[in-house]
Amino acid sequence: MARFLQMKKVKYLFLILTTAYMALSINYFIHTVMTVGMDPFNNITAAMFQAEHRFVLKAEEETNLHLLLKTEIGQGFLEINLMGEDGKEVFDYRTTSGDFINEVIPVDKGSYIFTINRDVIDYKETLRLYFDKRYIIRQGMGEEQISSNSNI
Amino acid sequence: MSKWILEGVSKIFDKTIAVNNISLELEENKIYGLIGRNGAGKTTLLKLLANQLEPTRGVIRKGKEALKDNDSLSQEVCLARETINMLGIRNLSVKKIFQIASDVYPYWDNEYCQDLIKLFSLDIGQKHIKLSRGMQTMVGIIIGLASRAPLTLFDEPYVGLDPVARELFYESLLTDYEKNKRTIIISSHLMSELENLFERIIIIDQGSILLNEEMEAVHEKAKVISGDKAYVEKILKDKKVIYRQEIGRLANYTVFDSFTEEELREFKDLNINYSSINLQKLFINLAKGGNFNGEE
Amino acid sequence: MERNKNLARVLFQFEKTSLIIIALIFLGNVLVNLLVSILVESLTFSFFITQFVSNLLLFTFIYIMSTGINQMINVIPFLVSLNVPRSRLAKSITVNGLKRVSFVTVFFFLIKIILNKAAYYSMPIILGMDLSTGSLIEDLLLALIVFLVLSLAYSFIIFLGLVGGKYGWEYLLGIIFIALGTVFFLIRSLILLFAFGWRSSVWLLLLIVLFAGLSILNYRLIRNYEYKY
Repeated sequence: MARFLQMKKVKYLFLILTTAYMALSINYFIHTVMTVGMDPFNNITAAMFQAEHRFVLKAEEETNLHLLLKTEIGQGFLEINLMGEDGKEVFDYRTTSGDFINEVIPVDKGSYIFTINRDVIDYKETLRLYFDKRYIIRQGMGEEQISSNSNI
Repeated sequence: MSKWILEGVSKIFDKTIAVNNISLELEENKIYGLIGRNGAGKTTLLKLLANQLEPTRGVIRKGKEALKDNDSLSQEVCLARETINMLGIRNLSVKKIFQIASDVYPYWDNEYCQDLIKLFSLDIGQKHIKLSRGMQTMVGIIIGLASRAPLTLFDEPYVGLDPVARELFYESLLTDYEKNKRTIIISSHLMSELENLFERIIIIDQGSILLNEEMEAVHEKAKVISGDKAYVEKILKDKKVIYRQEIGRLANYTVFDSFTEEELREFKDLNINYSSINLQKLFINLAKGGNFNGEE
Repeated sequence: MERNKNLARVLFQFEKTSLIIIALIFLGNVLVNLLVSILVESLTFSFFITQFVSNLLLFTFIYIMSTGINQMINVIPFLVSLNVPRSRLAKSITVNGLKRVSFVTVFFFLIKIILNKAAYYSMPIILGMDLSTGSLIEDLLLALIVFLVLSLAYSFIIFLGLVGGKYGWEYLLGIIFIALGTVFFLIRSLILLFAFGWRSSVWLLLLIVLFAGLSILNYRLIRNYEYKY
């Protein structure tokens, strides 16, 4: 085995194959990075924050959303809601005192409205929403925002 | 008492055959000289014996125990080199290097090591990288001697040493050998000085063994016969001629064989000169293209 | 046992210098950051803690990697040239690495516990875990992950060196390509892992299997190591 591995032809063949593997992986990486949807990606610190943020997620097929949220709320509330086009609630969350959640939300094929509703004072937020852009298209719906001393 | 045995040992690096099908038996408690040209395979052979290289083919064993994957047998061998190749190690002080060696070799004699340090006037506080070539060789020699390994190998242990230091090495080696017998192999091409140390000689060329003989036999059998080509060729018809040098009608023959009293008288009668040849001359004639088949 | 202790002592001899140098650079860095956070008004003590933890992570990683590289380049060839029993050497190299990594992991764990108490410092979210909760289970899990990652990095460096030395630079480069290529192919899963801790138990198991596999391979490679100098 050792002698086989030490043959020049074997060495160069191994190097060529691994270089090709690396090249393919870089190509895959470039395309894959484009399909990673991380939106919203928030790190918010605000003395006061009042806004409703809504957008549409159109799922081409069955897939998962990943939601990570860490909040510190002095006063007020945060609500997150995911509703299907048939009005069925897929995910609903509310906190008034700050929390940490790390959820996987399975979604079937169809359209969904994702709503984040904040009315808070002395607020810190870390929010990550991941979706696969191969299967989900995100469309904005516009938002109302009244805030001061916010840092997004 | 078990012999070290090499059976059909070869070592091939890429396409280079460094050691070619060597079979050898090393008797215990003897001083061997391993002679060969540069690139003959001496160092490779020593490294194979020290289990620092793996044979491509063949087996090395002591008695019935194979050396491969045998940790306790490997510890019976010490290969002393004239230098250390790793920069990180060369930045250590000599004292630290000896300390590491003492921690590693199971038969290490620290008292003897200290005596040798004094004898060679070695500054052990110095970093190895700051030592002269000769001093670096001394470090290797001291490790080899103080290790007291049952099989101690010295790879060209005279590089950079001045004549005084070389003499000190030979004396120390012989003195210690008398008190603490072990098998010693010294690889060399400095034969004139070392010839008297060797009890047995191994000549290696292009990875193969040309000669493996007791020194006494070498002194007895190695001869230069010179005279009239026609007469000499007739007499040496059945003898092992290893090298020929012709100058017109006259020729010099390096021979490795025994001669009877009668044959020696015949030389005298035919005005054929014969004399013993020293190891160096024997080796040079072999290296010039001679061999034990008498072919050139 | 005596000989093993001797070998452990020998191995420590080789890394003393690099340990001192790395420690000095780290301390210098910490001092500079402390002065900056004191002298620059806009920077808070929290900034210093963040820098301290980042530097600690970086320098301990450098220390572990430099130990691995040093062992590869200097220690293994030198000790093989001194005919140290191969099985003992192979075990010692692995155990030495594990000891260093364990020490670093425990050190990190203690730092984490101390920072948990210092409530003003806000911890990041890593692997889907909120590190500010101060949950002992999460801290232990984090310690396990740090231990495995560092052990794997150490084993991998040694493996690369052993393979390169025995079979040639082509294999060394090829293995690096395989490792990098695999990371690129798994980029989506890695993003989910680092952000959300998605399938972290699978990754943990993979780390354990890889570490065990590399340790076994390294053991074999050291046993068959050839001193070619």
